[in-house]
Amino acid sequence: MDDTAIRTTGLTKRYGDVVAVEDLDLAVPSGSVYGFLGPNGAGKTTTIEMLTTLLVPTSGTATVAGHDVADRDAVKPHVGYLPDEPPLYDGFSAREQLAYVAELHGLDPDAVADRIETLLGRVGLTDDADRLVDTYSQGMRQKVGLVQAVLHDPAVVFLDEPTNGLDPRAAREVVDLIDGLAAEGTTVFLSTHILSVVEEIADTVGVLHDGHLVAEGAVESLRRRAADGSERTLEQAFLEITDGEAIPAAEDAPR
Amino acid sequence: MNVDRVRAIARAERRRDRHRYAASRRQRALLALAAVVFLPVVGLLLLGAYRLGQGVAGGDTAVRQLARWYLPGSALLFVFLGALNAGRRLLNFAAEPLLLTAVPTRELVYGLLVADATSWVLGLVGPAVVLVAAFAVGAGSPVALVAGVLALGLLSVACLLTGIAVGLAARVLLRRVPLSPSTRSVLGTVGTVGGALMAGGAGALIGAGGADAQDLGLDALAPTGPPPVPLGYYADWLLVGTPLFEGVTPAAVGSLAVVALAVPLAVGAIHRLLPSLWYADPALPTPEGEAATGGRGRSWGRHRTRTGLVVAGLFRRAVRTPLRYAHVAYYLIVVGLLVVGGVTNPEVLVLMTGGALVLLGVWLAGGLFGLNPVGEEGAMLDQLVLSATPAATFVRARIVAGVVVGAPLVAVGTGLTVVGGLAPTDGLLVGALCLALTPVSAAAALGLGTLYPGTEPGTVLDTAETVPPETVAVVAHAGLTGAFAVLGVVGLVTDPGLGVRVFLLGTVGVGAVLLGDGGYRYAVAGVRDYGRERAPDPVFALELGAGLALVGLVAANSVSLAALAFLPLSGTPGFVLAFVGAYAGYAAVVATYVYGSGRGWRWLGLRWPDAGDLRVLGVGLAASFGVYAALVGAVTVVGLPVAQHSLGRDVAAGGPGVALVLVALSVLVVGPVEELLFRGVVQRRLAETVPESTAVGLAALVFALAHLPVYATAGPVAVAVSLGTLVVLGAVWGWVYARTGSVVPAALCHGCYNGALFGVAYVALL
Repeated sequence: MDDTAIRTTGLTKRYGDVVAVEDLDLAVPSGSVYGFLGPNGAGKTTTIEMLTTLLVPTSGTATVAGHDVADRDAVKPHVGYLPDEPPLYDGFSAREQLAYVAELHGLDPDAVADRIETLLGRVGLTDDADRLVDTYSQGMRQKVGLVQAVLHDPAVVFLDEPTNGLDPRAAREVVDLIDGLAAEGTTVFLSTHILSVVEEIADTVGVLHDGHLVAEGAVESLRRRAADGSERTLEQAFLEITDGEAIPAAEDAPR
Repeated sequence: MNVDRVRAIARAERRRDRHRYAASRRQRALLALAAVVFLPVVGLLLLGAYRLGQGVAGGDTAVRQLARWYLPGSALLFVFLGALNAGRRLLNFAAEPLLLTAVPTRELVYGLLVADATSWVLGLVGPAVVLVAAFAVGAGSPVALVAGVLALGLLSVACLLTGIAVGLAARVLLRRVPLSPSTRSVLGTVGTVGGALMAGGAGALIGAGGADAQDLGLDALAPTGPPPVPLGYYADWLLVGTPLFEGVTPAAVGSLAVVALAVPLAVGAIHRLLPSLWYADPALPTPEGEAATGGRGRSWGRHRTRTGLVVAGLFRRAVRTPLRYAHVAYYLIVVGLLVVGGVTNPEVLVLMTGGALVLLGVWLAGGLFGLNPVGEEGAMLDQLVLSATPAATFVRARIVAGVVVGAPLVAVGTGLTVVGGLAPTDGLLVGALCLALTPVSAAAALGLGTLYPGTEPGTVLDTAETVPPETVAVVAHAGLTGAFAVLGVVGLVTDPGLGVRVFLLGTVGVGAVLLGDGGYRYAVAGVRDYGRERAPDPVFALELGAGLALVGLVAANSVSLAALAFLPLSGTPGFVLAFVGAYAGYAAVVATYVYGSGRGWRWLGLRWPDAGDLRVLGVGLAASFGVYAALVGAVTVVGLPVAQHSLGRDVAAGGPGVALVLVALSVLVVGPVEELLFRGVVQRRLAETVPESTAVGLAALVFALAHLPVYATAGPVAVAVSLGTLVVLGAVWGWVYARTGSVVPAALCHGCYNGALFGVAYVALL
């Protein structure tokens, strides 16, 4: 396995005449955090589903952790996935849910118990973990979903809008956990449209628009890419890139 | 009031109905096939209505008496149905927040009611109108048709609206009781089941009132004199235009007034009740703690297998969130009605209770955990697919969980039937059969639930927000497994004669294996290949082919039976009718599969033959006759026994005319339809999973076995010889199909071969 955790070549998904993702070329280095930006409907979730083998590409190839995504059995031990709605069972407590999923991953129940407690502690759920998840707030569900996605210590984690609907404190805990994962060497593929999160933790940012990768680079370089070379916020850069028209920098904007 | 807005709301709701219940081509296909299979029942009903009309025209006053007695009870049933479904639309409509804030309440109420009434009319009144028409034709009176449709339409709309009003009132009352929402929901479900059973029990008691069960003469069913409920005189309006109409009597006018008045009264009540449910405070008095139950989590303990873990998970969730299984209420109502049917006779009651428990066990084995595996997992499916646990584990766990629920019910039920008077050996046989059916039921439910997944969140008896199984899956599963249980029990316990017994048990056995294993494979593939194309599974393809042949056999018998029973033809025209009817049944199965699977007609391979095809056809014909010559040689030289095709007896009985007709039918009907089924569908489908030559052989085997019933009366060796010949012939025609890629040459080859044999018979008989 080389140092590239995710590599796609000409990855394309069409639904009839509708193009969801077209000709996507990505190379995400191992251990990095890749911020996958794009407006609603840009094709972010479609891309993630193709990379997690849940959706078959129309054309093109992709490897995750060195394995072709066409081979689901080879890929799945190496990936964790948190969809935009955290998948949890009503009727389970958080601890039950996590222990259950851990066993489905083939982990030894005793060995994984400590890891579950550690992760629960890092997102501040230790005290609530015996309550049924039916009674959780959106933020708590999101955090359990995140712990569930990384339980089996996968090499690559796909997170679809992990801070969606979270209050600032919960968002902070989630971002810290993601940061910690990256520090431990996990590759994080983070799809979001919350720019501050990306600005803080992403090593590289890709901007997807109408199924096409329209910009890619370090956060700094994206900011600096304005036509006149002046400094912009990431928001300005994002709006400009996904709109195709230059957005005046804040200080120049008419009041 | 803005009528356009009312109509717009009704239209939007109707569109949602269509989307929900008929959007899937698989559902439409299954419904069409069910209509074909149940053709004899439909015919029987129509014939009954027609005969009733004839009786009425002849002045049979018993009809009037019966109608007056039983109309109020039937009306009550409609009211109950209305009450049951009151919340289905009125408390769960599209764009609720928008409509509640933007549309005047009155218009919204009317719009929703119009939508409800429309689906009601289409679903229940429509078929009833057809029956009224048959009745009017029998009575020979066009006035009866118009009067019957009007009277029936008014009555059913009045019952529906009254039912809705009653149902809403019950919900309003239930809300006043200070209970937690989940307790209230459970109470609502239990109340619904209880209400249905009480109504059924009351019906049984009334039916038995004053009558021995043995003596169901008219006097017992409907004694002369005025009906017990004066509303029964409404039945007179259904008889307008017939000699039985007694004229506009005060009683008839009074009952009409009651029914007609019920409409505005019910609408008024609904209009008053609905807003209090719509705008009610959703945070109903919730006892402290329910929302914050602490310490409920437990560890998973030790499970020797991962299947055990998943089973434990299923049960734990079922116990904690029982309302997700509210659809079990439907099963309870049906089997409960069986029990209350015996309420008047203690001895029968025990037997009936036992039988009902057995049926409940067979149904729940699949009905509880099996009918919506994909929809129930919901978003968790992604996680399961990406976990290290094989897909089969999840399917097996649901089978195990289903058997754990169903098997004890079957065992207890069987015990009760023995207590109730069933001979112990018979009880043992029934118990063994139904125990064996529990895993079949579970696997079949999983297959059907994967084929027809319920993904839309909805409500069952509007008690619980959940993702209920698709109605189609529930009905198909209950129908198939119930039929297996009943046919199997009839085959085991009654004495229908050896031939019929073998046929019944054989059908149940083969059907159970095909449905059980096929369902299991389909369900496993549904998880394993989630999000991608299904991996080819030759065994499933074979089971599918054999299953289609079996369903074809049933459909063929149904259509042919219906045609013979209900069309006034006999002799050769009757024979031709039954024959073509049977093949129409087979053709219906072909059409259902091609349409339902979305493969399209092109997939069948229908192409006009070119010169190359004709050469292949020539070779095929030569080979076919070669096979026949070899058979004749073997029979005459070696003295091999051979079974006679049942058509041979028809020819012997009907003479040369029938033989000549069969020549034409062979070419025009038998060849095309059988080749479409066995080559166009079965072989083609197999060839998607195995090499062409293997597909040819397997399809030929299915083709030969499907002919077993027509040889059923012969000895085993003779049957083997005949079937062996058919395997070879099927392989020849399969080769023609594989070689040309078109059904047409194979159909010509098959048709000409059969036709030639009947031609020889014709010449011999001259």
